[in-house]
Amino acid sequence: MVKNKLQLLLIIAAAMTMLTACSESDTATDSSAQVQQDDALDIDTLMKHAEEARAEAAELGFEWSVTGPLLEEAHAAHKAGNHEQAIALFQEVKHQSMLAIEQAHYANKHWQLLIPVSK
Amino acid sequence: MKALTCLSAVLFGTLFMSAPSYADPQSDTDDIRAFFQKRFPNITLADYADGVYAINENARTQWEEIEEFPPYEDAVDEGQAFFETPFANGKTYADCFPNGGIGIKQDYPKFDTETGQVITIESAINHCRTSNGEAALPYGQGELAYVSAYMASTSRDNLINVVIPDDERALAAYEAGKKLFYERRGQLNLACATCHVSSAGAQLRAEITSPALGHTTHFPAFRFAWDDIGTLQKRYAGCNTQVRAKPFALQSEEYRNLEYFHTYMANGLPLNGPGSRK
Repeated sequence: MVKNKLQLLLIIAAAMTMLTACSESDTATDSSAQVQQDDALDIDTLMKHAEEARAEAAELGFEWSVTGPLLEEAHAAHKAGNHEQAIALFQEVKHQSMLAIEQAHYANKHWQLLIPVSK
Repeated sequence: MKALTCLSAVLFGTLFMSAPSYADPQSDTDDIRAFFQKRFPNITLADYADGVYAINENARTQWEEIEEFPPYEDAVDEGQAFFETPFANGKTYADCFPNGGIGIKQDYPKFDTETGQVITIESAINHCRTSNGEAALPYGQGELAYVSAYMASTSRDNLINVVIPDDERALAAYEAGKKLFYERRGQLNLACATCHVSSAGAQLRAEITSPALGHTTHFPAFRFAWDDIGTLQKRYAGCNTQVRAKPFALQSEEYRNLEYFHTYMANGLPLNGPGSRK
């Protein structure tokens, strides 16, 4: 009886792990596809996407302090005609901002996890 | 059927264990104090007013020697001078506060039921100025911090007495502050609670992380890193920057709510500001 329950629990745990792995794999594929898509974009569109993502992170109150200076660097590189560097920097701004947005959504759902359990 | 029952039990158990706890402020305070009591069994509640110096003997010895010639004394004197200097209309700060502004810091932050906002002592100082035709002062350090430091010095040994009135907006402000305290943010993905609850007392490079309980007793504080007196919210902004999160504006709603939550947990602790900190 106990053995059966244990087996069931193990099966559930394995199924959940697989589901999570599949879901993460999907996310990774999506993210990779997005980066490839960004590579194909013109710099003005990439800049727009980076700025929009940063604005969304800021609106959520989760913008990272390192993102703003990076955006300034990206604009400076763009202005100086350093196309490759500007693309790399705008992509980094977008990437950081997407992570900050994800962090905000995670925090909104799970912020109570750090509340100490004293009992 | 048995398997279905078992699966239901597991799922129900998982949901039950991960259900969010919406405790009331007093329960929150009891819980966090119980946590620290367990973490630092030899520290009394009042000891937490000394911050990290309550939990580390070596740091405490150095701090006590520093306090023999307090680095904040000049700032307090300057703050008193500012406090007593009349505005252009002849009124002074004393006209804006209960008891002439003396010995009242223990009641701040307070919730203003008229505006539905949390008022900190620094926001009240600036409100006093603007309502008397004076320009608002920059928050964080300088003249405003000095006035606040003087007011804190007149409130020493008074016990913190932050009240959450029977008003849904006040509870919402407290909850928003609590959420901000426990949310991970910044590129380092750390919450206030990561360092000052979960890891309180741990070695962080050359420093010992201080317990959150008692943080608010000694501000404004003279920090050697600032080489000046600064306010609690300046420290919040500094902490946020250290975890690479863009800080909120000083005296923003976010930080006022955070201060409300943070100070409420210290209710009953004696004020000992301004203090000196590394």
